[in-house]
Amino acid sequence: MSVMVDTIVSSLEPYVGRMVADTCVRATALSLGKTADDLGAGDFSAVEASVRRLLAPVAPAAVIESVLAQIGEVAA
Amino acid sequence: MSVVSTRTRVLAATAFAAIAAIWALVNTGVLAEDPALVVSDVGSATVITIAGIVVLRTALAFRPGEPMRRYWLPIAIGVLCTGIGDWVWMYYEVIRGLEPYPSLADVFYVAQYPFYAFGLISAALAYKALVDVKRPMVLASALALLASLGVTLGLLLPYIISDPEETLAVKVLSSLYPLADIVLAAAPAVFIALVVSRLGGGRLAWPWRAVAVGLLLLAGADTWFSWSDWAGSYSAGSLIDVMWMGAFGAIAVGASLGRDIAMPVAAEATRRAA
Repeated sequence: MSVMVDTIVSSLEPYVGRMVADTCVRATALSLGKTADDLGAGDFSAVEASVRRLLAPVAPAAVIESVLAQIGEVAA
Repeated sequence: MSVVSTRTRVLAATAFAAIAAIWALVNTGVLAEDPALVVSDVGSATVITIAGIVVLRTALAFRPGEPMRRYWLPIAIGVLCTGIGDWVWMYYEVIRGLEPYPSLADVFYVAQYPFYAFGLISAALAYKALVDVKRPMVLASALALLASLGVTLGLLLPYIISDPEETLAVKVLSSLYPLADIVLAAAPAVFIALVVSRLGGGRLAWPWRAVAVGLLLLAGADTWFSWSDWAGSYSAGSLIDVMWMGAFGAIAVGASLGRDIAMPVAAEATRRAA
């Protein structure tokens, strides 16, 4: 698994559990026409949009920003 | 650093201690009958009102328009309705020495249910982009249907509705409570519990699990009360009262956990920005 994917999963897992975190990554990759392993730093904006769309209805805004900040640090 | 705040830990411990103290004062013969009634009624109203304030604070901790506020606010209103109902009942029973049924207190008690249903069903449906919500909804609905049938056939028809000594208002209200508990409290509680079970140990599930436990306790206590009130075996301060207070204690702890998930993260974000 790529560092990007590891980071996304490890950022999401404390909040939504491992299974849903994996699903989020696969759904994001699929929306880009890629596999999860192909996700890289250049896909950060798509990952950000996907995380916001999936988590916005169920997570506090502060949690979403924190998750994105962790992913963004790796993407940068 | 633990995600569960000192506030939540203190709240849980205080709720447990307060409920145990109220039960002990009322049931161990330390107090005479009248003071025991005061402790039971005032204690219950206080516990439930504080629970309502805790849930309201959680709702208001989120910005207007934020979805979390839309889920917690109706639940807070529901709990506060129950708290107001308890104070009204305390006025009747303790101050005026009356036990009217139905009464103004029942208006507030009945009003709580739609708020729980709205808050919990909205919160559960919000997970539809992450997990399957249809199967939990069908399962919760099926359980509600079975439980409603069971309560109707096992409690309402043989004992309450067929009782020739009861007025129509009493029959309607005594039937409404257990059915509303099943359909508008227990079923939404099962629904959200099943939905968030897909999150495993994920923190977003914690608050809703506690709220679900609280509403299932509430439904159990109300159904037990309907039967024991009809049988004439209910007394203030009994285990049913403990279940009621415990239900709202669990809901308050759930709401406090809801803040715990967001607030340390917000503090960290502020630190990073600085």
